[in-house]
Amino acid sequence: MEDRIYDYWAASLQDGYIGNLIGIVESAGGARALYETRDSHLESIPGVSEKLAAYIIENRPDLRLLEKEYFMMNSKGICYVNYTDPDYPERLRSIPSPPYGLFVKGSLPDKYRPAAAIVGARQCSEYGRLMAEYLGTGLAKEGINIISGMAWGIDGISQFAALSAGGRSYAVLGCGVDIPYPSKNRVLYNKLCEGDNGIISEYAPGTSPIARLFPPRNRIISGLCDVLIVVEARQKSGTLITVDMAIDQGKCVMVVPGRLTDSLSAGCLNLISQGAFPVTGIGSVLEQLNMKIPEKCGKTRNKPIGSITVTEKDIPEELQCVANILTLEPQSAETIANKAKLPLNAAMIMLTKLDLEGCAREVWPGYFVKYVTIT
Amino acid sequence: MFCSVLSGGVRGVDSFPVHVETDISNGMPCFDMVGYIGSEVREAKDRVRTALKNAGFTLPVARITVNLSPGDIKKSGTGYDLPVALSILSCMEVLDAGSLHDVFIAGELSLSGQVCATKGILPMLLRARRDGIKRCIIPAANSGEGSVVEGMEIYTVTDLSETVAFLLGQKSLCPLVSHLKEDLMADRDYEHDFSRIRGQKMARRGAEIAAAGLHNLIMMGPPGAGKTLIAKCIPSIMPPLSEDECLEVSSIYSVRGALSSDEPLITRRPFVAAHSSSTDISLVGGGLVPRPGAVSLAHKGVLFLDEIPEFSRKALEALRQPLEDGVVHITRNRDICSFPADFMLVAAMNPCPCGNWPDMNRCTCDEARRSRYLSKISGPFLDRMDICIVAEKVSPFDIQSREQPECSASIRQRIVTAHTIQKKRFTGLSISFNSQMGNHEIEQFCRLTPPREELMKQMAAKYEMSARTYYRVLKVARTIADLSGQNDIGDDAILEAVRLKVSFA
Repeated sequence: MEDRIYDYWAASLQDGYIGNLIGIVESAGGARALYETRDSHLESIPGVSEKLAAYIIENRPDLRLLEKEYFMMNSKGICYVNYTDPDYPERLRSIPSPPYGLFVKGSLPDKYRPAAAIVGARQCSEYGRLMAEYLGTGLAKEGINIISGMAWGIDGISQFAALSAGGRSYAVLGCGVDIPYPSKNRVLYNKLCEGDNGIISEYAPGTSPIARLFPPRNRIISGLCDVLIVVEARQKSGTLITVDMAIDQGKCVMVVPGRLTDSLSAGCLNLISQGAFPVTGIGSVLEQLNMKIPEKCGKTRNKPIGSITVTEKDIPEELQCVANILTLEPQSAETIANKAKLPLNAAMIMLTKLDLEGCAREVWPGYFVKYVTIT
Repeated sequence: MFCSVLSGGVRGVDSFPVHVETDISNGMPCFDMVGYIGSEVREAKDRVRTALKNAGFTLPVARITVNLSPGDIKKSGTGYDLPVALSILSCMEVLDAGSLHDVFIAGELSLSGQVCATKGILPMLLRARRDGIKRCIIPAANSGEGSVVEGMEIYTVTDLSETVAFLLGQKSLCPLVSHLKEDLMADRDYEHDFSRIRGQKMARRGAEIAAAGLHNLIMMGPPGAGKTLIAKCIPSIMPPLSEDECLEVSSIYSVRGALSSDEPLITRRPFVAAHSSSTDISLVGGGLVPRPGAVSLAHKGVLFLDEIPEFSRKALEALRQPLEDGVVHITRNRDICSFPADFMLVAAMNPCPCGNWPDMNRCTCDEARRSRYLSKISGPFLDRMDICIVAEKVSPFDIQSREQPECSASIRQRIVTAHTIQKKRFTGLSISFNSQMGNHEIEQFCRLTPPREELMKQMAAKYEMSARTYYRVLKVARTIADLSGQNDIGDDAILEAVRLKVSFA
């Protein structure tokens, strides 16, 4: 038991030191040995810099205090998994600089199930939202775990879709697992704490979300998956950090293609030109995962593998003139009225009717898209 | 010897009569002023003494006591100089007391004896007329305000000697000729007209419905969409001010000292734009001597708040009471002042701090920054907005379009009709517009047929409306029906009203 507390202490150093913590602890002769090393001898351990030594000295509380913390954590339903534990995810063992330990609220992903990470822009477009939903739902239905960062935008949307489809999803946070960050995703956070899903972090509970902790957590997202799917990313995007890490770890990277004119797809197109696989549907992802492709998304004579089907709701006759103008691209009521050559109030009345029928959706204040389901 | 002269003071935008009483008696020579007076009134003593000397009158070596009655209302302002001087002269038996009987007098004196303009002349004259006064003497600089009050002989004077000569009958003056009727009849062109706005159908429609029922309007749109221009055009589609409204609005401006001799009467509906750095006091009024704020200056007109999330929360919360009551009450130590503030609120905001949202190719704001920006406007405030519309950037297609946009005058005709319907509906009630209906009136005047009630219920569930939102939608639907001349609120009115409310508030 006591060793456990020392491991817990070593893991809690992770927010002050980003790098090969496992290597340092091993060369010190274990977590306990590191804890007991005298202040003056710390720097003689290979890999310990002056800064890290100072950080260790500063964060070496009394053992009894650590014990209390550990039990407090357990009572909040958070467990700690050390890298030496059998529960430690196999996928993480093989990546460069694996985390020393993981704090888990809920459960860890099942190692026998395939896993896909879906990541992308926080400020996504309607197209990105649709694709994240489609991939989250479709992959979850095939029994694939969805790993992501629970961020606003693509991450959260895909995870929510996976849960709604009855699948499993795991979020890797850049803060303590007891902090629902971003707070707008609180509903998702609560759902992820239930059932076989989980919230994972290498940082100790109570660690607040600060910017420098987020890039390192991306290596865990990519490390936990078999295939990384980028839905939308700008030319300069945090998502690209995850992609770099996935490539370092030898994971397959797939990209949802976008239009050349959308700056939100610039990063994605760049990745495709560098050799990432384009996502053409659920089937294309299954193919990369070497999974059996269900007949409905299989290859046929005039349909490439995994192409998608867009289905719309039946639209009442009298609303056709407005409904025909709606696309997946948000348009304002005024634009729609102009295109339909209708007076504005007539168009507004029809839009409200279409919204009520579930054929249109107001995605932003005053802007409408056609409501479709993609399978 | 004792003498009294009639003058007036301003409290809020109302006036009260003040009797300037003077007594000269034997005793130690001194000049005292009493009657709960402010420091600027106290200084009248020195102005009057010097002005009298320079006009050729010497104060007697005696005890002079001036009292401003009633003694329990605080008096402020500089309009008491002339009545004090005349009352002293009358006491000195230079003037005949009879010539000052039932004459209303106000005006500031300069040291040379010149009579200068004073604030609040219009409400004072209106009060004097109500009290049955027939003759008034006011500064020549205020002749603009004087010339809009009918039914009294109003004389304007430029200096003290002239006034004395006039009162002694040595000089004759012509009373002002009222031109209120001509002013009201005159062509009231507004600087901004809807004929100059191309495109922006959504904002035009929103503004029309808002003006028809005096609903509050909020516009969200990127910079350069023309939100300010649309707001500036709204007064031009509202019905012209009636005679009473005109005098009421002008009184407020008179108290602020904002009436010029070029424009002595406010004949156009006011448009007041408050800057986002405005304090709560500057918006609703206040100060040691309460003065009307922006909401009162916008009385019977439009108050425009641009960049509403940039306003301090305190300032916006202060607006809630006048929005509900149409009047501002300012409580001071011994007094409560009321300023009318029956205005239509038009607010504008950007959709995000950079202004480009939802254009994802240009917007640089992240979600957290955007929601922080939007959360600066409190829910209760947004709840009070009946019509919420999104203004888009005008497309080049619209700018080049040959189609001539409808002008304000023709929109105004529809609004006048809608106002007439509402006036008829609310006869005998204290309200006159749909937006002012309380829950009781809504139940009475916005009754829905069962299938429409069903539709409303369906929408309330779909858009998660609060009870307040539900009633706001009904009020707007009532106005839409009035605009199209329908007796019953139809499906179309409901569906449009919902669209105008649920987008973002």
